[in-house]
Amino acid sequence: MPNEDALKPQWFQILLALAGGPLHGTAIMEEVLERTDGDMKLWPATLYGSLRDLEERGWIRETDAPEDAPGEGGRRRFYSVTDGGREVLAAEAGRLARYLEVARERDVLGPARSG
Amino acid sequence: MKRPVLARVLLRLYPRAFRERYGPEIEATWAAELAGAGPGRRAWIRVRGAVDLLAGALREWIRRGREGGGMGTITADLRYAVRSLTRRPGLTGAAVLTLALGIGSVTAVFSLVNGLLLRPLPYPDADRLVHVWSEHRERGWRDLDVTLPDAWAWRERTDAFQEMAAFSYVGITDESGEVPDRIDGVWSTWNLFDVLEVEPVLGRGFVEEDGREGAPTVVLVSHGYWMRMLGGDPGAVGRTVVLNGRPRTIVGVLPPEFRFLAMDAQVFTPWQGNPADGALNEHGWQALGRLAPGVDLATADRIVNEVSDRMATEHPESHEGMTARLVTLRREVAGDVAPRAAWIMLGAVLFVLLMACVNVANLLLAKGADRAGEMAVRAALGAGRGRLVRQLFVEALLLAGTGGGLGLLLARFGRDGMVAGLPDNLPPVFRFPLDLRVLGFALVVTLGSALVFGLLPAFRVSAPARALRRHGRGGTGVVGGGLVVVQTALAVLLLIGASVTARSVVAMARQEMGWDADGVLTARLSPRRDRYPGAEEVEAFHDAVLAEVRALPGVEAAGAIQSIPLQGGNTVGTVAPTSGTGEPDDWTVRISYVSPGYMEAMRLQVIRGRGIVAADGAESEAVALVNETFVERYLSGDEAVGTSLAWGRSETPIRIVGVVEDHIERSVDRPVEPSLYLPLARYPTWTRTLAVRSAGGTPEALVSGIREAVARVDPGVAVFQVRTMGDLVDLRIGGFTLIAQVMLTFGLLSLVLGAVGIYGVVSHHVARRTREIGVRLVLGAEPGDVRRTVVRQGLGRIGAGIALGLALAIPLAGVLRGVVVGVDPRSPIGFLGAALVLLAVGGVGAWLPARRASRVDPARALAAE
Repeated sequence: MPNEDALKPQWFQILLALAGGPLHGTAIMEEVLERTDGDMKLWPATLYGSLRDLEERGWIRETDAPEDAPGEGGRRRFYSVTDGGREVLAAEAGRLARYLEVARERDVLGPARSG
Repeated sequence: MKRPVLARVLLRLYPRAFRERYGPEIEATWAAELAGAGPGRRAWIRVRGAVDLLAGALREWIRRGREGGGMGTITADLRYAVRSLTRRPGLTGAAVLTLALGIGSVTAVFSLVNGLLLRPLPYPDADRLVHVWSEHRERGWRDLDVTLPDAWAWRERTDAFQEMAAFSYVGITDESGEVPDRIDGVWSTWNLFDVLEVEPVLGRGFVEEDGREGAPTVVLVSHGYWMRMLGGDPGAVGRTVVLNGRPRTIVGVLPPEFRFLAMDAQVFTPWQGNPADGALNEHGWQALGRLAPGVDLATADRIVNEVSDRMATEHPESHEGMTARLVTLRREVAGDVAPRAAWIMLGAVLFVLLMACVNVANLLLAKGADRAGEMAVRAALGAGRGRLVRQLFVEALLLAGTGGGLGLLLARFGRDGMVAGLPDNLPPVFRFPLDLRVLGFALVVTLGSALVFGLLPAFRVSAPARALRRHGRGGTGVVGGGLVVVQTALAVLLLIGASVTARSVVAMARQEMGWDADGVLTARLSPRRDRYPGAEEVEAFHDAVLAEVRALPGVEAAGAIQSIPLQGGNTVGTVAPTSGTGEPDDWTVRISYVSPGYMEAMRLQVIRGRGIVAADGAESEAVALVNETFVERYLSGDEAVGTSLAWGRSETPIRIVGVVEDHIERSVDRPVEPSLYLPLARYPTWTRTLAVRSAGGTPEALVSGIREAVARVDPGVAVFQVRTMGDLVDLRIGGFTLIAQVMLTFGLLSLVLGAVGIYGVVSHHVARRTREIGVRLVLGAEPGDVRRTVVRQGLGRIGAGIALGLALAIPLAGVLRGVVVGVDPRSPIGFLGAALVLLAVGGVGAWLPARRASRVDPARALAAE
């Protein structure tokens, strides 16, 4: 049985994006796209479906637009990560870090590359 | 910022709560995406975004269902839809059948596109495989085979390729069985299978040692050969077969699904020696490479050409001016025409589907008008408009789903039919399964159809104003009329497409080939080099065969050529005039070697001078024939006979002794090239094709006689590719015939759909105006007037549709240019023909209901109220 609350990859990426500060939907999409080198494209319906799911779980919440936010021709909803969301994100990041550690020990990554 | 229409429409499929909260956000994100994109990218965003929104809508409803409540209404909707559709079996059946035809045709054609263009070739990481051609732009040589040293230089002197090999298709006489058999083989550098990354299922692949000079001679056999010739013997590795007179040890058996590119090769043998030391001027090899990780096609092309430049400096005599061109293996194998034809057919069939959808929309609108009462009752009982739209849309989805399911079944048959019609020379690597991609495509098409034919009627039928007003007028009038216009326009486009491709095939088949195919049998002979080591021996063999064949009863004429027209095996070279003024030019010519009797057997007229005769041999004066195009292009109409030419393979100048009429040689869709014909007796080739003209016109009757004649001279020589010239022509035109048949089918389908659509709209219109017509008749209108009014209205819309179709056809006909031969896609005759056919068919579609209108019984029409 798939766990309803298991952290889906796109949730992780959205939380990671919001960990840097409040963002609106388009900005989240762009950041995730850039960070994953174009691998994860959050199309609008997927994005807002996920935002709604995260909001329901109390991991993110809608927040006021930062003062320096550009208008973009209309008011947009901004989201920020909650304390609960940070905990979940930290747990997941820690889990990934442990795997990375094992991979390093076993030389999966090869010699350290510069640049 | 502009509000994106598509997103807004699709958002209506969402539960209201979600739409109200996130709709504007989604629209804004969508708009931001579109704002920064170019036109191509925008189209992609719309398609991909639409899929995302549709999937999202489905997710939302399922989610609501799980949370209780919502799913209940969905199942209720479904149950209601089933009841509503089964209550009108005729209408439902018509809609489902129409959709099945449309979706089935689209899916079948898509399976062709998928097989040719989307499915990876059956090798690991096939998109990294590339083919390299040599070119000499100044001389106009394109797609020239490469030399072994070229291929090896690209392998050794660059890091563009993970591996690069050279191979060549060879005909092989297999003497392992009772009678010598002729099979296709591949001769390659030892590393060919390292490029393909294919491992044998039995034994081993080639290793570098197999390619050393003097190493034991080995062979890899195909799975088919292993089953057929070796009975699937598990101990076959180590056994010996005799190929081209040489014993070879089998080292491995290739996998059953393995096919090598363009030919169904049975045996693979390694070339022995150092490829770098191969002949520098022997352009007889195909170069196949696997790009190194991180190297793209453009980069590899640049690197390869740097090496080609260096080769030109090192070997100016053979490589001056030579460049290289890289293409992906898929493009190389698929060729130019097939992919373009596949896209055009897909475009045409999408039009057919659109017409099918328009017809179904029509049906639903008509039905919707009858359901106005039902809608009003449901609205009165408290159903909101959204609820009604959803209900109607669920019905549409159910219709599309059923049609799509049935369509898949039809697609299987359609696919089988089309695959059977594919030309025999299509490379065997292509397969056309109904795989997941095809099924996914069918699903998207089905959902898309439901949107196209379902949304408009759903919104109209549920419109509150309509629901309240019973038997409202106007109704389907404007919308239905618009649908007729759209449908007529689509039918015009399809008819023009069908007529252009069909005329092109007829033109190809009927074109003046120059030669006369009727009554000619062709057969290929390949005496072995170890039995006939020298030119004199092989010439004597072929001479004796021709003498035996000519003596057969029923043979009118017989001759030989190294490769008969349309057979492939084209040789191109350069000659230069030895006399004349100024710089000696290099003239690019197609070169054929012919025996006496060949021109007679093909009924080719020598229009000036004389033909090749028995006296033109190795010791006599060097002579040649040229064709008319040669004279026009290079001699600017001067007297050709007597002109002398210098040619690399001849020490003495070659004198032109005759001019032969132009005829098709390379391909049915290519213009005639300047050609040179040299006597085989002076330049003997081992393998030749016989052309034998039968006196009675039934060349098939000569087959056994020819086989026996060859056996009388030497029973050890295989006779292969025995077929009539007519069969060869059919084979070459086959691919084009398939396109024409498919387009004609679509054209006819569009006529039927168009006629049904027009009939449907007009008769519905008439039915709804029965009362009005009754009143008019009572007030003294003649039945003829009524008929004329109805027909005139119908024809007006058909006329508008024809005009729209013709206007759209002008740019679209240009697309056909690349695949049709000998006809102008924009010829006014095709346009006019399509217009007239539609006017006639549409006229009948409008006239039938009009007749019914004029027979309305006024008393009954009024009493019905």
